[in-house]
Amino acid sequence: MEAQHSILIVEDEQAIASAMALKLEEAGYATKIVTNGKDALDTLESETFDLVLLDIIMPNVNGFRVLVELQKKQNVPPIIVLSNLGQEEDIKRAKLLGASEYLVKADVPLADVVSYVDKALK
Amino acid sequence: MKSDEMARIESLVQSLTNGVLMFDVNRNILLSNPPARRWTGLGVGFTLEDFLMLFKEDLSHAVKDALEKGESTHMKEASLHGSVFELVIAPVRKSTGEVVGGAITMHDITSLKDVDNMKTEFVSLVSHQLRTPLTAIRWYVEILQSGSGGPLTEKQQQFLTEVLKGSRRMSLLITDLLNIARLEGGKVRVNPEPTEIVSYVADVVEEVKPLAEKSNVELTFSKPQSAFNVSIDKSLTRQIIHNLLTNAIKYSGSGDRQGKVALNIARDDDRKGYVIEVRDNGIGIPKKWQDRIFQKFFRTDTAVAVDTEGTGLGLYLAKMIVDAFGGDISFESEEGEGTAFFVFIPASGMKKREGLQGLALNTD
Repeated sequence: MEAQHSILIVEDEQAIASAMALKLEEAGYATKIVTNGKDALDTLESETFDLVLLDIIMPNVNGFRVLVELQKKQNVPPIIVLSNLGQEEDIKRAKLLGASEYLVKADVPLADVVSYVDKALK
Repeated sequence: MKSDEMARIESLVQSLTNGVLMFDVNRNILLSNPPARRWTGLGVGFTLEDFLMLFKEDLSHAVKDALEKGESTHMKEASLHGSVFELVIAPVRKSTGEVVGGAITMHDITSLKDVDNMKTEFVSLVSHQLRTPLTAIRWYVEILQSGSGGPLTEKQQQFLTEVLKGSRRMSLLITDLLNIARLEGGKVRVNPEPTEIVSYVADVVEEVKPLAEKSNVELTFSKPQSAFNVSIDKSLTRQIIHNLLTNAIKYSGSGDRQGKVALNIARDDDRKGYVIEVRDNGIGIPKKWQDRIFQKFFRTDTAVAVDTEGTGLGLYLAKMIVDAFGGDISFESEEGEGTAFFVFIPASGMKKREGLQGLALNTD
């Protein structure tokens, strides 16, 4: 049986993180939730994931900082940024820092989040 | 020996709360009143170069205009050490009219700018804070509607759809408010690039076609034969046309007439520019409301009857964007017959404006 793809969800709002985990698991993915940037970086050190869903506004270490740190590493999985900041400059900045996709949570249906994940892992 | 009049004038200048500096044609500073001294640290013995060096912006052209052309320059904002000033740099003349030097007036607007900045930052923060619970609402309704919480009755599905519609409308409202705060704060960047506007507008029309089809509205774009190359800010242009087209589609086809929306671009030789026209055969704007149509939050009751959920911000935003890039927006309308909006873009292109931010994009 083909190994399950695993997704790291980095999101400080529990309800939002759980909603994503629910739909992704329904779609056959394994998920893990961390609630801040520091935990995300630590977890990526010790475990491997096939994709990261990354929020930007988080306490302490925010998503941009995570992107900066991940740029320094090798073998980093694709990163989809999911944020409620929607300005062009935020999108540009995230993409420059290595995000493969930028989605505004309040505007994107959950089903589309799953589609983007599918697409990124094809 | 100073005359009484001279002494009175000098006393006046020294007592002003605005900063005043005077310089001669050799660019030496002749006078510097207390506020100017406090802000710049300069007085007699210093030169204009010492003054110009303090500012982030390059003011040398303004000085040149004053001394060589006898022209005044009004700078709305100039930054000095983290403070912001409004400046006027003007020539000083003898009674013969000959320019003998210049004067600079400084008005400290730092606190005004701070309040402005705070307002925009506040709105950004609130927008972000509002979007988070909104996301939870949308996603959990979606989860319920997809059956993950168990099977639903048809009524339950319908009610959930109403929740979804409300939250989507809120999302658009938040984005609109954010854009308004930025436009009102003068913070929106206008970044003109040479663009062939016929094909660019055609792309925007394509984006809106699905909505037109869904609303059973016939959407046509009569492409002009020639190519029109103008320097435009693509994002702002897209926003306005998208706005006008979605409005036209929404309000088209009153009663049993099929809705028809037509877009047209033409050169306006008189005004030296291009006019983008969006024409519909819809409900029109009653004469009594026509002068309020660009007002923030204003919606005619005829519009509300068609769409109870509109925000009343679309045209206000469109007007602010047009003002920001140096264009013009106008309309013609006949109640019950239809409306046509005209957006004028000068052939010289949109004015470039450095700003901190672009517009928030409505991707819904």
